[in-house]
Amino acid sequence: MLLQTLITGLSIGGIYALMAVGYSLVFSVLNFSNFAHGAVIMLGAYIGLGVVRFLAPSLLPAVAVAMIGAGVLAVLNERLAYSLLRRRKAPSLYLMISAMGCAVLLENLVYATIGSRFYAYPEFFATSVVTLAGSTVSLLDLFAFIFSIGAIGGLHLFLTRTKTGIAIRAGVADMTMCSLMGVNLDRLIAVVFFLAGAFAGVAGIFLGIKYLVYPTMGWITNKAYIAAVIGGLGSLPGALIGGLILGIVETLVSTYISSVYRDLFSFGLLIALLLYLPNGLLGRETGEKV
Amino acid sequence: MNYILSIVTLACINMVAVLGVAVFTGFTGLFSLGHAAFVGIGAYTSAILTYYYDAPFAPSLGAGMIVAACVSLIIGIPTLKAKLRSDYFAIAILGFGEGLRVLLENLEITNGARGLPGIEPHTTLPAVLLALALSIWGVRNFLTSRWGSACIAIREDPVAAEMAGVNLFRTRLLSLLVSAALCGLSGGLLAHYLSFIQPVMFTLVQSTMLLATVIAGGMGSISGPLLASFIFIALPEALRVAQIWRLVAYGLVLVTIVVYRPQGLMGYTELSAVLRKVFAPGKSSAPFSTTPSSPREQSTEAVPKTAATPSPSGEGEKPPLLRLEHLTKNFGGIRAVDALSLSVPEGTVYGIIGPNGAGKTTVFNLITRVYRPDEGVILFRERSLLGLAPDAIVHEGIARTFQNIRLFNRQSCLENVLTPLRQRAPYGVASAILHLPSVGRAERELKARAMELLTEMKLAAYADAPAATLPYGLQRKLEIARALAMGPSLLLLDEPAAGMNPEETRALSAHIQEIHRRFSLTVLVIEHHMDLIMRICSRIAVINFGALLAEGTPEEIRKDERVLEAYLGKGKSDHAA
Repeated sequence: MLLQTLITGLSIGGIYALMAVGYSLVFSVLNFSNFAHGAVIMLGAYIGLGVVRFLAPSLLPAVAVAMIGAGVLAVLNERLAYSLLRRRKAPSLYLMISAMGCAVLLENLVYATIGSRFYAYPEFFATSVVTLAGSTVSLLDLFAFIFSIGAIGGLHLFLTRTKTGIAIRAGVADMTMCSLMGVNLDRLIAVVFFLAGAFAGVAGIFLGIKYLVYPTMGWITNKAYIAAVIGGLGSLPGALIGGLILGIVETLVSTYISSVYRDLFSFGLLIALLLYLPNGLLGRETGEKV
Repeated sequence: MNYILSIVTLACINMVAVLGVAVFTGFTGLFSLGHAAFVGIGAYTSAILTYYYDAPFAPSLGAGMIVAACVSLIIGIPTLKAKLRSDYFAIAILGFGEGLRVLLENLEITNGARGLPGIEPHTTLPAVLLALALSIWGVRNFLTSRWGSACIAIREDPVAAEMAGVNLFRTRLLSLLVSAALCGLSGGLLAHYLSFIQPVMFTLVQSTMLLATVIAGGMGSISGPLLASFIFIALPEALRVAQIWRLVAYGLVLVTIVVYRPQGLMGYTELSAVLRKVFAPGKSSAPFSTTPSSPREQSTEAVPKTAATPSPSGEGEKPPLLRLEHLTKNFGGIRAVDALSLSVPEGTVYGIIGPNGAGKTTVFNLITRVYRPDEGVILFRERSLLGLAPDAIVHEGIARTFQNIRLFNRQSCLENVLTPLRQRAPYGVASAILHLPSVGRAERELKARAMELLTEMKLAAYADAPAATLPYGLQRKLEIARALAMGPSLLLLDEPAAGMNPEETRALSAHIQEIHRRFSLTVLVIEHHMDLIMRICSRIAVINFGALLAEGTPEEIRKDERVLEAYLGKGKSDHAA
């Protein structure tokens, strides 16, 4: 039973990790909580669904198109809703409000155009299972977990081994200095948002396959915040670890205590962390100069 | 007709909640994504009381308000005490709101996700209008009292607010309580209007809409959000727009306003001020000015404040007013203040000089508890300041100005000076909200004293002008006026002459000497303008790399080898300032 719980926890944890990484990436560079991240996740799920319905009924093209599509949407989102505020050096509060507005706008746009019906992905690997030491793992979950780890690992390589990646890490430390060193900030931020969007898109597809696709599914990003806070806002390895921990802990609560109060527990955990461990496990402390 | 009445009723019920969010977000500057939860608590509490216990309507509304306020304490106390930064705080409140919704969906007494039907429809339009009118009146009284002043100060500049004697935690908590109570009232009215409530009516979406209304209406205005609320509810009905598109519009409006017109409809003014400007131009008044305009005279005869006592020059007789011993502060690997020991005699003008980055402002920040020292003690009148909060230190009698001027920019000059004065006002919250006569009397006295101070500083003509519109030199004087309003015995001036030409510096020196004499102050001044320091200081301390380099009279310092080496420079000619 415990092993099964752990495996279930890890599989949803992998998806949480994907969401948290995208969210943490934007937070670490622009220092604000991108509430529109959930909407991009939702759009990724819908894009994937569209690909599967109207193009090719197989997983990899859907994932590829969703990644690119969601990435592009995220960049557009930044251009339209955040870039003017960023240039004006508006406080992060305004960026957050704008993000909130985007989230409401996009979610209800989908609601109004496509409709509130819940859609399901055709059965890919959902039904095939593998047995590991007496517990069953769905092939999809296994794939999602491995993909999550792989994607985040790939991101890590990108950030440490490529020119753009290093520029991003410099931007995380100090945006102004970065631009003084000759980095095109607009292009850099576009790349960051594209990556965040791509991750969101994949997370959306996996969520859609695991559960269902519907306009308000973006609010599961609440879990992304919690995961990111556990790991430490601004830390990418932290987002990964945070996502996995949250997935496992949630599933444990759900199995052994009560599935109804699972969300209550998660939010309580969030508040407790923000109060007592705001830097999470791997986050950094920054002070303000008076 | 019935249809229009119902729209108006719903709009007014919504306006009460919007008023609450306006107090919290618009006037105190705290972004909340969970206030719909307080609406829900008010709704469920009052509905449960009337449904299960046959309670009468008005008390059930009151109970809803009280319970909502109490619940707000549960999340408010830990999060506000922890001084979370604004987006962490918003996420915490968001989590709290969502958690509350889960709770509502799973408790027996709330009938779970199915909702509570069959609530008595007690809410009528007259009742709603009465509730709205009382709310607006109460909020207006609150915001024009010392509490409102404190909230606005926190929104404008929390650091400066603390230095004006405002307790950040208590004021923010009070603001939360008031806003939660108002939301609770709105919920109670709503429940008894719709006769049916469900947890899904009080989620993040509704919180966002409340926030959107306040932002669209204008943070810092009461009439703005009320107007926006009416527009948001009435307009879609008039255009026969479906519910879903209404939310799309909310989102779009929110993004557009934040990006292109962040001050919203009304910005920081009230509709009444705009109308006044249109119909009676010529009388300028600062946004949300709580003091009515009246003709100001530039009085050359300054009102005598205290009996002019000659500044005590005997330094050996009294114990030093301020003593620092082995004060040390590190920022990571940098030793900003290094075992600094200093003794400031009472009644002197004491100068602190040193190269840039020597740690002078850090010393001020340590004294006023912006930072906590790593080692050492700070003794004011031989009592340690170390355990005290910043606003308590202000009340002990220490006031400061800042290197980069920190005024309450959008407030008028009079308001800037009134804020610290009000923090010592003798009336309580309840008296303020009910606008008892004692409050009016106290406010008039405070206003008179504030005008006296402005007149002394020759700023009376600018009393109603927003502080940000003043020329630089006058802004500095205003900051000093605000510091004096706290009735300090020790005044800390951080580079008051920064950016001034020799003529202005001369005038400032005379001015500092004047207030030193008139208010019997001890003045501690950080400066780079040697002419000012040498002219007005009786003792000087030189700080280099965080440590005390030399200390003594101006003549001693001028000749000290080490000081010349480190700071003043060994020139060929010897210019006396």
